[in-house]
Amino acid sequence: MKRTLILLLPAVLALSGCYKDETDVASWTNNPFDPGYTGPNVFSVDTTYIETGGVPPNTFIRQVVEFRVNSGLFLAPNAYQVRVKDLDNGQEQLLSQYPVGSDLFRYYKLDFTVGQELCLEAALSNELSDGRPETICATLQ
Amino acid sequence: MRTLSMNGRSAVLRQFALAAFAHVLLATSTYGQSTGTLRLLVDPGDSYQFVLDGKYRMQEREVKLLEGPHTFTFWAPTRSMVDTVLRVLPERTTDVVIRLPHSPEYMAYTRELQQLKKEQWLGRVLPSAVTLGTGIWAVSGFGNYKDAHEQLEADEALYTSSATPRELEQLKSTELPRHQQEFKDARTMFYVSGGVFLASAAFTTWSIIKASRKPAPTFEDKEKVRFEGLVWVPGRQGGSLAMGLTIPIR
Repeated sequence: MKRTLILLLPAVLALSGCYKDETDVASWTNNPFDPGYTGPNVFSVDTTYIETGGVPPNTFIRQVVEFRVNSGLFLAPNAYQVRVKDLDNGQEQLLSQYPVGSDLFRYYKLDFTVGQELCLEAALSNELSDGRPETICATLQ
Repeated sequence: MRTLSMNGRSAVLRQFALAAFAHVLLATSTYGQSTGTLRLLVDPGDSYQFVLDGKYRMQEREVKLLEGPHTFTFWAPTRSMVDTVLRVLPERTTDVVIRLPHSPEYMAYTRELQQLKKEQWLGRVLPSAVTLGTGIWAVSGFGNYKDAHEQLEADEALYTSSATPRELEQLKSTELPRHQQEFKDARTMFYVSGGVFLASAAFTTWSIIKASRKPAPTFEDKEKVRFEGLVWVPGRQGGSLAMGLTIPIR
């Protein structure tokens, strides 16, 4: 019986030590889809330019802001969209990748002004909820 | 010489007369007496013995005796001796019911044995049962502890794999704190139950060692020693002398 007790004691101590680590919620900030994400910026502007759209004679010109999502920051491969808020007029849009399967997005603006900086508030979005918003800006030269 | 002759003759005559008188007396005392049977119904029925008329030790269920009173001394292992006089009725079979009471030594031995069993139960079975119960409690506590930890791991995996901001927000603000509290509670309960189990196991060990060191009571059948004094045991070859010897066996 003594031997059993001697064997039991370290066993219990070992078992009790197995799970002594607690989960540190404060460190859970590295998922870009988390509204509390604190890591590097997810969005970056590639370029902005003017393009002509429509079919002649009904054509129009618009500003295109191409930006990129750094999917390398994702903790796991995921499908997603991007919600963009135009800080110039307050309009919001939900954008999908263009081309599909890439991490490139295009925002179109009709009432643009050449030489004026255009800032967008972008956030990763899924199931009608958004992640941390980031502001990206581009100036049409 | 004559005087001597007269004296010797009278002595012989006196002895002869005395012998004749004894013979007649013995003859008259036995002649004309018939026999009767005693059927002995003794509790315990399988191990009793008796000494008849202070001389013959027997182990019979029926005895055929001359009519008249006879002294019996009954005895059985663990029982007290019972002395009684039974009157044999001529030409009749008489049932005699006798219950031998337990001897005081046996009663004391029984009490000591019961006390020892009770102490052993209290010292071994009860602490072992408590230890078993606390062990089950500790194992259950560990299971809950493990489940709570696995839930935290699942939460962490969900945080890593999820791409739904609302789900992540709800996980961090509601579910994870609740799971963490459950984990802390489970861990505390496991520590408590484990501590109680260890204390219980230590107490059980000490109690069993203590109980095993207590000597068991022995029974010395003093009534047997008294009963097995030197008596004549009749047998087919003429009988034998018997004497008792008691060896206490633990």
